[in-house]
Amino acid sequence: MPTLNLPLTEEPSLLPGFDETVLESARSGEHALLQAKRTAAYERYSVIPNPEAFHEEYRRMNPDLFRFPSFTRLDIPNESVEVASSDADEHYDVVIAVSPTGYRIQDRTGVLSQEGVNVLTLDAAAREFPNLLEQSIGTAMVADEQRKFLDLNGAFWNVGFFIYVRKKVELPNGILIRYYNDQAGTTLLPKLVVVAEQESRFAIAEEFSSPDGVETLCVSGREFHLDAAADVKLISLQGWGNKGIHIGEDWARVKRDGKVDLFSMTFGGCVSKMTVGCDVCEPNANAYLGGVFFADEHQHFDQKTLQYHSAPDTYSNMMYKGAVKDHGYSVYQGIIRALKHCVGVDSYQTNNNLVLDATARADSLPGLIIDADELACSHGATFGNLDQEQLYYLRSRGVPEGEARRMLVMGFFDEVIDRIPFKPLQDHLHSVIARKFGSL
Amino acid sequence: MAHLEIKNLHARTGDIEILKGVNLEISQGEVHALMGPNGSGKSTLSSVIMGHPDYEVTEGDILLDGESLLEMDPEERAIAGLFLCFQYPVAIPGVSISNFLKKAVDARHPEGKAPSGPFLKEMRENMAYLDMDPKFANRGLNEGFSGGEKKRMEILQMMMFKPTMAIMDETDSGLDIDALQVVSKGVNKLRGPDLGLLVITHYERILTYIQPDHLHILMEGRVVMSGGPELVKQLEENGYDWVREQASLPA
Amino acid sequence: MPEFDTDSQLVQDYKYGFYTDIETDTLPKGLNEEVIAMISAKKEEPTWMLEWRLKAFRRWQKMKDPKWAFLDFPEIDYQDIHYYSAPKQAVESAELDPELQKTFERLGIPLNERDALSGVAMDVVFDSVSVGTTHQEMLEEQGIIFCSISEAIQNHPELVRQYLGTVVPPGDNFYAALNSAVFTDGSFCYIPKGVKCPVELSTYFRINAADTGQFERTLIVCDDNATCSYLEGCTAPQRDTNQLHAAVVEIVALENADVKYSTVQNWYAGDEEGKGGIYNFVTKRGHCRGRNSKISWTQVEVGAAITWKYPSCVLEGDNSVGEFYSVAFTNNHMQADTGTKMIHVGKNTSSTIVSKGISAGKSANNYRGLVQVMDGAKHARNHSACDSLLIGRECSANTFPYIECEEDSAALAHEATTSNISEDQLFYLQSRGISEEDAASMVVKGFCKDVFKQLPLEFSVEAVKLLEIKLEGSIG
Repeated sequence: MPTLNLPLTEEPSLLPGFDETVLESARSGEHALLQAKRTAAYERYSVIPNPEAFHEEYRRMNPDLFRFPSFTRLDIPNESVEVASSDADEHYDVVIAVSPTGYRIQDRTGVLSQEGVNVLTLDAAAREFPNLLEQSIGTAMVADEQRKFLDLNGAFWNVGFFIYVRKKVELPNGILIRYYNDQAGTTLLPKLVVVAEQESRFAIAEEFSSPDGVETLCVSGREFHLDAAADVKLISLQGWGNKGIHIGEDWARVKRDGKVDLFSMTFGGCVSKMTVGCDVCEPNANAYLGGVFFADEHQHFDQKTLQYHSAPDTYSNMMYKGAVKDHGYSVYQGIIRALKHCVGVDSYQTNNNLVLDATARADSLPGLIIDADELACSHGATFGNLDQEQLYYLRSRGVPEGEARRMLVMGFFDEVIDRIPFKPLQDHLHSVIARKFGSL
Repeated sequence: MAHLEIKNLHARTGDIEILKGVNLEISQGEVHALMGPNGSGKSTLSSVIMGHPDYEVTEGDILLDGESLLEMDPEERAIAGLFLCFQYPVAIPGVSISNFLKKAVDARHPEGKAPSGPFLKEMRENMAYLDMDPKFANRGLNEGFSGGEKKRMEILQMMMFKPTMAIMDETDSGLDIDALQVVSKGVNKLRGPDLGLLVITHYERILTYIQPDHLHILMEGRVVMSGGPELVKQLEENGYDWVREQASLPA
Repeated sequence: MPEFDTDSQLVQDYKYGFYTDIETDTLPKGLNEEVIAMISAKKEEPTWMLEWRLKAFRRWQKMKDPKWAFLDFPEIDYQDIHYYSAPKQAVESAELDPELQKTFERLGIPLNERDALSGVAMDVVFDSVSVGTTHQEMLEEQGIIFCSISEAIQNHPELVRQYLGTVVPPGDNFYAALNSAVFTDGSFCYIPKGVKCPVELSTYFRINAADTGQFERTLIVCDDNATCSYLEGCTAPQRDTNQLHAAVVEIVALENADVKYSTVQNWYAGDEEGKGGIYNFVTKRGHCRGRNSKISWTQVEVGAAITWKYPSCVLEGDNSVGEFYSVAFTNNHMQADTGTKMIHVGKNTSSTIVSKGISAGKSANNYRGLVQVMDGAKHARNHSACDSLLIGRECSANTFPYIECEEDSAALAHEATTSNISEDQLFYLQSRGISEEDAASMVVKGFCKDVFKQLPLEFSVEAVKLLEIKLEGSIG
């Protein structure tokens, strides 16, 4: 069978700044379990070919971007430090804040003192839950995919957390993780591993930010393991300053009756390459991938989704909505893959694009790879500007043109944003979109 | 004379047993009604009689003119004279109604091909009788049809195929009164010594248009009560709880 | 027009799989500049043509065959192929060899004027040469040129030079470069200004000789306000080895011109184990150069072991229209990677894509399509619908659309579905007395209807019958 992967390289193919010396410094003084995991990830990373223009995955980006000539890995001390609070903090049970100088885990509602909720660094987790961690690092991704940057993160991560919620435990307000980087020329490599036991239920919000004008790189890697009937939501808001480069890999494995919602919101930075994948691997598992992106000025956003159905009677739904403006360029690539003998798969993929300026560009490549029988898969993609008839209708009712446009843009995105469980986050997203849209 | 006999029929889908010993007999020329609360197994019974692959008969038999249907494919049952008016007819895009009807009529023709002239004439007459626009014949089968249009389409097929034994599976569900009248008009035209009819319904309403000779009540996968037309009225007045009491079933 | 028999006895075997034993003039295997010079000499071509070929060959030598398609086949040894094979008599005399005559009778293709179908002018290409074109006189009266490309190079060099390679440049891709170097025959059509071609123009391609590649080259030019409809059909003998058919088709539509190009591709597809069959690596492209021009592709692909084919439209003229309607059926071990490219360049251009893929057996059926709206293509419109139907559990259906939009005034919509034949649909039809096989065939034909109705009537009837034959045995 043909494959979308390139053959593995015989000689190591390393990206500048991510070689064995850096690996050794990352490994030094660490728990043996984590050291072994880094080495395993490094071995995969080093044989996956480097980004090249002829590879479909990177064809629509400048692959040289991924050579990172001017970035060095931040050495974040593994110690708790004071980090400034944010207005958003008060809405959550637990807030993790990360800065180049360290991290802080703040238990705002006392949930961590209860039985069943564990939020800790990977280092602490390696000591407390070694078996669980052994099973859950580097295992969420589907086996036959090659993810260079997930493995790069796995080898070189410089700040890592483990969220572990036990059977039937629910978190009322969820967890917020804030990442901040103001050190020019540095790379943040956050790792997150989430284990949700049977029937547990919680949501995680993530925010990335940096000052405008500061060149930063972030390679994020997140893994989610959902046991039977677990319900987990992740809302990731990429809001780097205008010189940020973001590469993200989110992977979830969902077991019987489980449900994962992965939201990817991309607004910041100059270049973003985000990949979200799910493997619904037992019957009745369900995944929703939601995306909102808005590229303006010279922003270039590339997003990829992978809905992998490795068991019969599994469901997935993906909806990515984006707008491009000025010289913004967005790329959406998606794959629905149903393996042989996976009957009863139900899978959808929708990508809608608002092209707001003639100078902007949007590409969409929604793909279906189907080896199974008795299933229903579909995808749809649309491109266009705001509907002139709708605009006219609103104006004829007395709504000023600017407001009418704003209403239509918000309406366009709300199909995804309405599903986000945090009201304050919804409001925040609306204000980000309004700000981006503002000049129209 | 055609005769449908259902003997101690047990059937299940997956692990769930739905029919638990149904007994029923219908002769050509008779109109039987079958009523029962939701989930009693009414639609399952019609699917099993027609041979839907999702259901498995675990015990009992279905005989048409003394011959068992159980080993027959759905198309063989149809050609033997059985017809099912579906509750939810599926859409088959791109297959035109006239083409489909011709194929199905050909399948019943002793020479494998019915002459086109008489076929078209009959189709147009029947469509006119059911107040259907002749242009309908070129549309895809049930493609974009309203609920009422689908049901008329079912009756049109019944008129074209002339079955000896027909089952109407909740044909009245979702129909407004005008559509119900047209559908009933078609059924009553076919009613007579050549047709045995089983009307499955949830509501008494359709039975004022198509008056049954016999009424059966299905509960928990079994026929728990049978009677003449007077039973319709009794049921209307007393409800299913009364039936439960009479049949000494737990409430 | 080929008549297809639905007699089920013919179904199991590929009906066109016979071989004609005929004396041929064949060049030795292998490809080099000498071989190209010999092909050119045999065709009595002018020097500029030979130079053109050699330039393409030198380009080709520097190229690699494309690997991006979702196809799996061993490397082709390009030195193990005959690049020229022609029936001797066809070349030497105007009289048709009786064996050839018989071959085309068996294929249902009347070659002589007496039996020719009234509404269709036909050119027939047997391996590397054209063996006859019907209705010449009538076409000449209208000023229409319809002949083999070899004849056109000799008799209408100015037209050929003006247009050849302007839609598909010799270096466009690996197979197009190979074709440009070694193409042997194909059709040339020129419809002069204001002429509505009164008959269907048709070419029938037949591969006969073993280990021979067929390199068809077709060029269609529709001048201002002219219209034409062109049909293409193809068959090959049943053999254990794979044979290469690498064609290039170029269409030019000038102002207000309207070209309709239909293909029924029924190359030998290999046996049930996947042995043998034609590799069909084809570059087809139309260029809507003039305002209000239109190019419409309709393809029914039911044969070939491997299909690599993307009939495309470059919509340069303002208000130009591109269409692509496709049915691709794969069975056994067949593989298809096919679709289209719609490149919107001019203002107010619109395109429509309707693709229906049906996979059965152990086959793989891929749709790959590009819709590109270039900067400045104001008010471009596209609607794409790609549906796949799976029959059985061993096959696969993949969909790879690429949509690139650089215009805010564009409106593009793409939708795709993949599903199996629904059990409920089959049960419904069966409950009406229709057998399972007929029911499945009805559902499939209904699925393809939007494409079949685009074909000229006789072709449409034939395509439906052909699909029916191909479907038999694949269901149940």
